Amino acid sequence: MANNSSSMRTDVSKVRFLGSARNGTHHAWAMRVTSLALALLTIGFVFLVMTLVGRSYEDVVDIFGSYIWPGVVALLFTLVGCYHMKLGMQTIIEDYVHGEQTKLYLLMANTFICGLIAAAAGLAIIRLSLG
Amino acid sequence: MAETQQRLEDRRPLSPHLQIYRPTLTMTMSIVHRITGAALYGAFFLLAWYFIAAAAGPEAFVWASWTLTSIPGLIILFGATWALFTHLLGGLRHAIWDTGAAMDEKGREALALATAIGGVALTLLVWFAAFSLR
Repeated sequence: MANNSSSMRTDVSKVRFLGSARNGTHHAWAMRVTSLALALLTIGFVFLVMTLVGRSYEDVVDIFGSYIWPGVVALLFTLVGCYHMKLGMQTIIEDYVHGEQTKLYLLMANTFICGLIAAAAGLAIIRLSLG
Repeated sequence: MAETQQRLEDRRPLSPHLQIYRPTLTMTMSIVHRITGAALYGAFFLLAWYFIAAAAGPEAFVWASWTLTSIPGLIILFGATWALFTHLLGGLRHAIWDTGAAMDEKGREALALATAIGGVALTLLVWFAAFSLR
């Protein structure tokens, strides 16, 4: 892509979202959307916890296998939660870690960890639900 | 050149930080919002562990279940419940502010107080309900 002659920004700074990458509001907006989703999902999640609390292994397997809603609530809460906490931890890292290299590694680690939890817990919930 | 720049950076005035200000309720709840958010990051590992253990089989589930319902486990879960509700109400507070409402002194003090009290109240309510159910 040709460099805009009127821009002082390097291509790499745009790629790393430090310049105008037409993405300035995405993080803030995604935070709002996931917050609202989680606020609503928490109602279902609390209901799910109440259903599962103190249950034996057989009961838990039976609950996930017999009804569709526990799997849906658990899956949505986990996946949206992982995306939301990825965004939140990203802000914390950006605020407090000033070393450029350390910051980049931590941001990557944060993305990997959140992705790993989402995939592992998500797959576990799907497996439970499909019995 | 590099030396001049270094000395300039040393002489730059710093903006006042936390220890300069007298603690206020809104400031405290702002800090609490971030801390509870970070704590919930950790709590999600436990949540994932529960689901993974349940999917893995009876032995893994018993191990997870035993750990989470041990005394240290229950204390952590109680703290996580408080973090969840306080962070949730803190988020709703921000959603209200996003509309431009309750940004005056009275409004923001009331919302901060409601967040603090509501978080504790919802935690106690849910734990009371959980213990009555089992």
